[in-house]
Amino acid sequence: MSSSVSSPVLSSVPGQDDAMAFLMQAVARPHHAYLLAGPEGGGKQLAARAFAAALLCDRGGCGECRACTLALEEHHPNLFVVEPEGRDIHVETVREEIWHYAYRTAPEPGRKVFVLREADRLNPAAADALLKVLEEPPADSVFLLLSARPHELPETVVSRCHVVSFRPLSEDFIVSALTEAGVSPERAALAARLSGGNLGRARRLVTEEEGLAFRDQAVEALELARLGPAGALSAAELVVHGAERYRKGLSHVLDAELAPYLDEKGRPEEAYRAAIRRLQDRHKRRERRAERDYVDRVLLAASALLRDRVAATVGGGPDVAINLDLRPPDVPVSGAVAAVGAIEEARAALAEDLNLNVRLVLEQAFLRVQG
Amino acid sequence: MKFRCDRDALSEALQTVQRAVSSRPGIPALTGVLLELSDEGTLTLTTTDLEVSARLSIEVQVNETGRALVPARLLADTVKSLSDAPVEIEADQSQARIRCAAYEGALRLLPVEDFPALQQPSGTRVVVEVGGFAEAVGQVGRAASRDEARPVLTGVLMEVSREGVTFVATDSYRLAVRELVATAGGEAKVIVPERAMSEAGRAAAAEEKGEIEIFVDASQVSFGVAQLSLTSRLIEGEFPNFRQLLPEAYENRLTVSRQQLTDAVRRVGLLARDNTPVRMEFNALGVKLSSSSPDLGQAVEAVEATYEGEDVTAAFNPNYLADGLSAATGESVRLEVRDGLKPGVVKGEGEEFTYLVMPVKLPAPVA
Ligand SMILES: [Zn+2]
Repeated sequence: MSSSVSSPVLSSVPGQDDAMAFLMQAVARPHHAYLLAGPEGGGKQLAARAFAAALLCDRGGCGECRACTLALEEHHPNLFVVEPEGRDIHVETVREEIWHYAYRTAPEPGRKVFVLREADRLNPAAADALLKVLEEPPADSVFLLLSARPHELPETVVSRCHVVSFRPLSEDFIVSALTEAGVSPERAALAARLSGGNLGRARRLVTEEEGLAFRDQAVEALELARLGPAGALSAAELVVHGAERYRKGLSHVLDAELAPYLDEKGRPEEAYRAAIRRLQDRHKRRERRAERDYVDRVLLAASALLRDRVAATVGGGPDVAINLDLRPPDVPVSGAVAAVGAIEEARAALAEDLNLNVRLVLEQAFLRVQG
Repeated sequence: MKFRCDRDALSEALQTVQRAVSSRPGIPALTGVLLELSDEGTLTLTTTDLEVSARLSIEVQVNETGRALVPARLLADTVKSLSDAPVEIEADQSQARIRCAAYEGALRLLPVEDFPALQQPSGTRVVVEVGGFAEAVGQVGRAASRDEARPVLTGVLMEVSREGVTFVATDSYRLAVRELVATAGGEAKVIVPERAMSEAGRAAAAEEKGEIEIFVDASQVSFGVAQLSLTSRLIEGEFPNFRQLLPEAYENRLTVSRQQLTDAVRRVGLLARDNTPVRMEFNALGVKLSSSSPDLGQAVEAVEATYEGEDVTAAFNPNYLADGLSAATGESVRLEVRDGLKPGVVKGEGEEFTYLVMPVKLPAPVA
């Protein structure tokens, strides 16, 4: 068997050469489970879809056939995608959407591929149920677990998987990806700097209507925070409010997804109750993530602004500045150093624990900004 | 694609195949019904939920062949609400136009390439009479487990030999076995999801006479009744060796009116809550049933019957026992028992149906 399988669909995933090379050699004789581990925005989902396409395509991922097209859209009948509903992946979800299909013959001839997004959100009972399948893997099934917090997965589950590591994308890579897509070099550099190694976020920075509005909010929040404790609370309020507005802007997405399940008068069809409930749960989760993402973008921008302040004082030129187009904020240097620390701590805390109260974390961070 | 047909025929066909439309989100194509027109004047309607797919053909006046994937629910509701006049449906790349009398509507199409590629029925061919098939499905289906924790038990085992078909289901508390005479082209052994089995049973029951044509291969089973073909995925795994569970013979046998015993078990069972069993004392006069729940009270009923064997006391879950009694056929039923620790066996008047029910261990008698 040739070890250098040509798989256009896998080669097309950019910025993660080691991970993709590993997956490419795995296509011909796949192991039954893989853990795709690495930070958000590094391309794990893209890689999982491409790998699924390679596993379902007769030619190992030509990128052109029906199987490839459907797998890349996550519409392939033999591809089963599971993600948290609400906060967790529940044991019922594992039973109904993984076990059920894992122990049945495939809808179309060929393999079955199961993708678990945010696998670290499996609650203990769900992880046990999944483990049972991984211990006695059904024939012709491949499981792909995705996680930005792999250390939160039970060791028993991880030990059943081949771990494929994804790194944060480099700034150079993001700049070239954006400029290739027609973004001006200046804008690309700025977006790359502000994205924290997350290509998806960098793309949104340059393409979304609001563009860099969140950075204006960071400027405003820092100005408020400088005014003292009351200002710090207002700064937190400002960001929470902005995140909420951003989330509400997403509601049209749900409307479009629900449309096929509604009757002519826009009421839910009786037969689709369960489907509708699931879509709503999934959407709630997306909204919550969008809110978190927005807060992180504002904090990252605030952190960048403060870093620029420090850099300007120590005589750094434009190449060390992050906000290539803005004058650094008017904060004392000593305070700026402490403030960067406070904001980065807040970002880390919010990324680590999805259950934290956002407003409280923001208030504590901004209280330390005033210095 | 363009055709013209009778409203009632189309409406009925849409209602029938709609039972296999998916409510799973994620793949919008599964909410659709695939309409395919052939040169021979046939419209074939197909739906699937990835586990069961339904395919039905009706005669129509074909103006232009082709295929289109139309939202199933919307189309079914629309056609059902049309006035009683010929219906014309014409689809282009993006929408299906529906015309009937003065009505004209257009439904947006779903992407036809996204619809799963269904396999033609193939493999071992088995032919059975519709009445017998519907009866067999009704007899064993209820014993299948609803618990996804043991996937093989959520299905019905279908064992095909030259002599016929054996249907088996168990949830580990009871076991139902039904033998059925059939014409079979070979041997096969598959586990069919219970839902698919009961859909096929439903379709068979709707026909007064005729045959059901079954095809079994390694990945699917298809049931063809009249113009409808139902195809199901199979459950993978090892079904329990049920023959090992069936007892050789018992010395103690109650022969009793099926209706009388069923009613008594249900009545006395009303006071058997939260897994408390119905106690059955077998003696020369027949059987005495009793139950008691600390919070509810107690009930006793004696049923006269013919009993051959030693006096025995056993206890059973009343719902499981009643299920077995009502699944058996004929005026009288046989209930065979060994002692309080061995399963009870229900048999109807013939030998083709056997229902095993696990005993509930009785607490030691209080003084
Ligand atoms: Zn392909």
